[in-house]
Amino acid sequence: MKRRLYGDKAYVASRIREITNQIDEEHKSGVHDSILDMAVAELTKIEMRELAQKTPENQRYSGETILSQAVSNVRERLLTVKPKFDFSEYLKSAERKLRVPAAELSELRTKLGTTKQLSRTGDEMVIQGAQPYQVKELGLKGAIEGLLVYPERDAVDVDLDKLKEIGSVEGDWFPYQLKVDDLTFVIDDDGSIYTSTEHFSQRMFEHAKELINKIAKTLYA
Amino acid sequence: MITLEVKFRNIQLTKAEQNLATGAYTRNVLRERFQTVLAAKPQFTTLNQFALDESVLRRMISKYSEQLIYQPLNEIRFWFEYSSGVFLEPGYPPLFYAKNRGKILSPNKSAAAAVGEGIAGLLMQRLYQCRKLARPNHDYPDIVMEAGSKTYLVESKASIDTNESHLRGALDEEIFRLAAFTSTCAQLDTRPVGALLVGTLVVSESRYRSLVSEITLL
Repeated sequence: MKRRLYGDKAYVASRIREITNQIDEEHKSGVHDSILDMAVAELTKIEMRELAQKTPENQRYSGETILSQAVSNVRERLLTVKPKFDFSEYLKSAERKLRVPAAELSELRTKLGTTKQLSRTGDEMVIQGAQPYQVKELGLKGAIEGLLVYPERDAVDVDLDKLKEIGSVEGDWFPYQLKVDDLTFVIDDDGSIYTSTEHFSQRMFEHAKELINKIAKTLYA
Repeated sequence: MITLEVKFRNIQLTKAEQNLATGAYTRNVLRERFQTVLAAKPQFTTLNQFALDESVLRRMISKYSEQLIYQPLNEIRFWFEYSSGVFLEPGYPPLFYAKNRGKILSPNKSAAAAVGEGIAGLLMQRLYQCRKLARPNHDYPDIVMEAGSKTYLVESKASIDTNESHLRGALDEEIFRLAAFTSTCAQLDTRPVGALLVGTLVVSESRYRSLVSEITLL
């Protein structure tokens, strides 16, 4: 089964386009749509997390700055999603709702900077190819509890049938379970692959890492 | 491996019943009327039972839960160990945990909530082929999901080591709230809206039971 899978940000943006198209068709732009309200807040939340991850560690970045920058970026993006739609009330609503999470993100960002300087986080690496992806060790060094692979781009083309060449696939829909060598890998609707490595020995962990790379290469080929 | 049993009921609500649910917010007499209406609706029937790998559940908990808890599945396992009495045996801490007279020990509520939210998201994906649209931050409902052009508002409840009737009572108390909210969304929004209330009972460390109520607005 071949499918194109979208990352959360691209998916939410595409749904916003559909909802606003429908609002226009039904001439209901005067009514505050509750689902659109939640979708715009979600997009802003994703943007805030990305900003907090990407900005240079030495740059001061308060919660308010993260929030206002995220709202501004989302406003720009929504202009390309649905140029003539008035999102101002939805963006104001998102800004109100996300003030507290923004302050928390700012604090976490500072702490993450220190943690990374001390090299305490698990390794992460980008694997190049036709559809590049990232492999991330989840947890602090010495206590890695999982491996996550996710596509670098907004969308990825996958062929789920190819997974049968590697192991047995269980489930009728996402999240699929792929069993290989007594390990379970979870394939989700955003194209990500996850496996738990809790209490693994170094040897078992390296084996899981080899397998998850093999699965990613097959899935994203 | 966890065995998950799924029970299902579909509650179809007429306009008048939706109004009753909205009124139940403010008046007890209307809440009682709504409970009577609910009692006459179809009851839960067993839909499915499947084996759930812990890796899948862990991933779903990270994706859907907003509980700040480390390893909720281990927390649940620990509770069942304690409540099974094995702490009396060698190898366990030789302590009395209920040191204050009258103090009743209870399982970790955050662990139960995290598992409940993870299972709710999982069932929405597997049973309805939904995708997460939003996870409102400390707001109502727990999750907003989409399948095709339909939006589902999803609320989850969970409890550990209690009987099913206790959970059913909590679900019946929650239904009017979710029905009223869904009815309001359906009136304001452009797209069709449905709702699901997913109650999960952690029967033991390896056996869960989910009671899924789908609310359909007529």
